Amino acid sequence: MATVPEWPHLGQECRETSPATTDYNCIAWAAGDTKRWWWPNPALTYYWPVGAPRTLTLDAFARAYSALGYEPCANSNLEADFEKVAIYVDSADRPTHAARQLPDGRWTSKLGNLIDIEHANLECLRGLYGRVALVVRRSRFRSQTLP
Amino acid sequence: MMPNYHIVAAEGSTRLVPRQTVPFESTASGVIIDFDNFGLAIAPEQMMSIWQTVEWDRTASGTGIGFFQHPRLVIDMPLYLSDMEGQSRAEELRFESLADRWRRETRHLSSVDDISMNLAYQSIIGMGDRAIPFILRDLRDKAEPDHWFWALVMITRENPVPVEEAGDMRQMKARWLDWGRKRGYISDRSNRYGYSS
Repeated sequence: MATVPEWPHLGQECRETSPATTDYNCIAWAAGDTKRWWWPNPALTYYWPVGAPRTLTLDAFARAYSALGYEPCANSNLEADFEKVAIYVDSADRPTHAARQLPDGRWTSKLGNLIDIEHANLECLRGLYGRVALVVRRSRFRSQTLP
Repeated sequence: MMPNYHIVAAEGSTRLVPRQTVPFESTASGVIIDFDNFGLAIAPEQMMSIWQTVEWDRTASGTGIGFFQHPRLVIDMPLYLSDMEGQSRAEELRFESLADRWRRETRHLSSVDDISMNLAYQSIIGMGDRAIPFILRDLRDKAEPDHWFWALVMITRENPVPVEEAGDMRQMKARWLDWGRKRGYISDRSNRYGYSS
């Protein structure tokens, strides 16, 4: 079971899948990158895909994932041929987190500087990351290259 | 019989302080006593002496060293305030206190905006140049590099990390440590806890 004090309820719905590291964050992890911390800060101190705006908006995140072949979709339901990423936003609609769907329908998330977890649903992370505002998907039968 | 106390071992001028109540700030690494706008750092090993001799309000919620919650500490002992060395140590403790708070409050976050706008982090930026050696030592001595890069850019108005390395935390750490060594902020020697980077 994961033990994350910020989410006392999390242990019932998730399990830890990797040790804590600052090498990458949830946005990178959802994109399959474990070497860089992704964030669209204008000061260029963190990685962000070329061509995507360096603004803290949902559109900027959608375009960042678009660079990897993702496109918006209707919901987070499991579709066998597609890999989905759910993007969370806070009350000001600023992106806060991303989770990637696994082939069995569960989700995988990197928690900030902490651990990776698998979680049964998207709702269990709402406490601190807000609501899911956008789900994007891409074919599972694609090339695996990162930008 | 009251034992002897050696509160801060610092060379230079000292000053005898009469018995009084002084405000203090507890940190993970010790206690900072704020007296007459003069920061006095007390390390954990010295806190034991204080713990044994102060008039402590037992109704305070704190139960042990490093977890004091009561806002005032009554010191019933000769207290010698140190000079520059003590001030420097006080600043270091203040940095460590702010850094600990920042880590606790942001460790679950991915948003660099939220990580950087944290109040404790902003307070560290507010320390200006004096924070640079503490930040670089923290980067050097911790296995997992923390998000000090925005603070360093803000304080120094420089960025030694080429854009193609942005987001590579370990490479960014290496770039900033190299920057700090060239400017004499840090050395390669082991840190004060006895282990090296």
